[in-house]
Amino acid sequence: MRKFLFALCLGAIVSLQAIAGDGFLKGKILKIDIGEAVAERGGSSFSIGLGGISFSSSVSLLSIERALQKAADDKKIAMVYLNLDHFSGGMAAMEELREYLKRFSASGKPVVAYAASLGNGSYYLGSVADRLFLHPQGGGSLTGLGSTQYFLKDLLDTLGIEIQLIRHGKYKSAGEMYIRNDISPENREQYESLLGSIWGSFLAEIAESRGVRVEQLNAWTDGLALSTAATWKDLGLVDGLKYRDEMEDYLCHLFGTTYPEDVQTISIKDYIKDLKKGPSSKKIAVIYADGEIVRSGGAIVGEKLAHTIAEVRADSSVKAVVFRVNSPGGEVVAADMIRREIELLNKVKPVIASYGAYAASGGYLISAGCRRIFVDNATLTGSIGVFGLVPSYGKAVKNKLHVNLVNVGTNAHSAMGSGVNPLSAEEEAWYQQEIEGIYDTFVGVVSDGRKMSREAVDDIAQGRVWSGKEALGIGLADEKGTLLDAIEYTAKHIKLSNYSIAAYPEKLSFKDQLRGKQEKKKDPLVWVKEHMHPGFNAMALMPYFTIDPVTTIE
Amino acid sequence: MKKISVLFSIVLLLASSNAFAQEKTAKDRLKEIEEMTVKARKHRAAKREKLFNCDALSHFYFGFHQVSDQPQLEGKFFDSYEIGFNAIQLGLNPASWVSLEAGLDLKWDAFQINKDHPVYISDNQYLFTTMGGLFGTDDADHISKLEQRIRCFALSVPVALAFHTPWFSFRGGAGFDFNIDRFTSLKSSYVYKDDVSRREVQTKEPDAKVRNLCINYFASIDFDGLGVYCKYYPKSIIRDDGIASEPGTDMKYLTLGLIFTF
Repeated sequence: MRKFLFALCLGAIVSLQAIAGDGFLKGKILKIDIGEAVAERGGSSFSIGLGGISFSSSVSLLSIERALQKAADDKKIAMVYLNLDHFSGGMAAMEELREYLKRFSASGKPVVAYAASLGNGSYYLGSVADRLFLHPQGGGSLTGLGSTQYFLKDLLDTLGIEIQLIRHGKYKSAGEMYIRNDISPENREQYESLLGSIWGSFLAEIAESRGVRVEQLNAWTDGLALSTAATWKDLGLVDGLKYRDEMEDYLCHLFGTTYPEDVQTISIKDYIKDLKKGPSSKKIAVIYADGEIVRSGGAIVGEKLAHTIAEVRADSSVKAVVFRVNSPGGEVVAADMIRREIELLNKVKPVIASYGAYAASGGYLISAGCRRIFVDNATLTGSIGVFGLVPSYGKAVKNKLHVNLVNVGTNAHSAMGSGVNPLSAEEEAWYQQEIEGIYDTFVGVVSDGRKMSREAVDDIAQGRVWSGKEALGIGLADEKGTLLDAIEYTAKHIKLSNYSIAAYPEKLSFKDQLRGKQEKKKDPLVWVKEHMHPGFNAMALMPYFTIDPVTTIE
Repeated sequence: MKKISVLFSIVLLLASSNAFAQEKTAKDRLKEIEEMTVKARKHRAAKREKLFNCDALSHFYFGFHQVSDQPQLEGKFFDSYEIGFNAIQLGLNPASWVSLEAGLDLKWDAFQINKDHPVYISDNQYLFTTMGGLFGTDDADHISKLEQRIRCFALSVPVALAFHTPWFSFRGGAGFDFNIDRFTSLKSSYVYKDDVSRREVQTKEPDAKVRNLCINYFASIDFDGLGVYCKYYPKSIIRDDGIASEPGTDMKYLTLGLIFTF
């Protein structure tokens, strides 16, 4: 009996230890300001323009994911506070961030979010919080996802510029903006499916987090039921309405104090600085392909990235590679250079692909051969197709500027691609043949990489853009997961437990930045302007892998 | 062995069942905390986050002296006291839970001595003094109703190692009291036995034979602005050379008191 009582007391003591304390949170608040730029690769940069010099800095998505993963187990971190003001960011990045916030909350530590107003993206992110508060005068609405596309045929006709679009793939709509005045039925079909898929995924996650039905959310969206902050609260989509000072009081309450100075906060930027590096002798390389693929003067210069991949292949300290693709595609030759190097690398070290916002067309080509592909639901991928655009401006120059251009040449097709006259039927057929050849090669690459028959690939190709979720269903991707998931999968795959993560290519030096060699995405109008330059002759016949250069879906 | 296994299983069962019961979701935890009441407490200075900090007039204290090795003064705890505050305090904070502190305090002491409860100098000699001398036993026989009070003013330099928790702070260290002669005095009042009128004589002597430097060891514990402290002076406050040819005094004391932090 005595021993039994002793055991009981001992158990009680051990138990009491678990409930020692007054119940309030202990530790620091990990603060995430979503208004600070989140980029594929963080860092600082500056640009010199008419307005002066502007500096910008951003935090890398991978760092945030690692920080949140660490914070979930860190006893010094009690909770996450998410400030949704000035929300900006791609949907895929937000999807990954949301996933890690969800995992953080699952560890038993709360996530509290605050917004001055809410929209599609900010609510999607904020809905994961255990408590979401809105400014009493805030509001906003869920409007669903939309994509605005513009068509330039009438404008080009007015200017007298003719554009010939040669393509394979009825869904390869990238060049349609130059030859049509409205959206084609195929393009409409693919975008409706795409947006529906992404929106459906988002609503499903919101519904799960907030305990409402997807149908109800759609009904509120269609009926514009959400407007003032009060309506958000009445419908249960936010947990309360608070002013900033009330939020401060609320946070103090969570820590059992009435004094803000007793509550310690650490920003995600400062927390990231403490992330462990790991041994440099065992690395997992993350190679970023972020931007449009070109032969020169762009975000991803094919030859440069190919050279970087070759260096990684030769580096014995790199044990495996995660290929992070965030590209809508680009020039065929440039893309193929990268594809080839990835193929060689994959033979000696495992290469796992992780997709960001885009991994379409050329972005898909360069990564189709990877051993495993991780996507987000909101990733735009596929677009297995090719197109070429051939502008001719002879009429425009004649009619508008009263300048007559005359070609003199040695052979029948010496003036082909000069931009003075459109391609003849024979020339167009020749170009079409080239496009068909490239498409065939593309299908072959996907067929080999994804272990699918060419017919099966052709069925889902035709230039069609798929969401990440759709891609999982048709075999274009293997698993839904974040960049960090891909890295951890890779480490597990090669049985590596202690490693460091090295990012490639190396970031632009200060000198390069000073020269103005900045990474930027090309706006379609900029693309057209550049290709009207006399130097376009060599470029005019260069086929393109790319998807529509549409604005970010929001 | 079997009994030990059974005992261990019971302990494990209780601990794990409680641990299991503790598996709450983040939402549940928030709900619980939102329903709790936060006790208002006295404001206290923010926990030091900086490596160095400097505070002025941050605490005030008073305490009562218990003279040790003076058995006749036992029970006379409230007769002698000290009162002080800090002018400046410097802190080095390598971490949020520990700091090294040094400061400058202004401190006033008052030691009550009377004939019934004298301070032994040595053997049978007592600390009484009048007109610049000290009473020995013989002199003591001629006076009655003797009361004396040594008053000191000191600049005190405490040096301490402090440990901080969210609920209290603990300090321990040494203090160096520099007694300023100019502000040290011995006030006496007594009556001569031979004086029929029983007139009270009051004297004040500027030299109370107090040491210029007194070292003490102290410890304190502070809860939200109110704390307790104790100090011990291992050497007598009275100078060795204070008594002309006497071997020395023996007035060590222990101080217990309250400390108020702003």
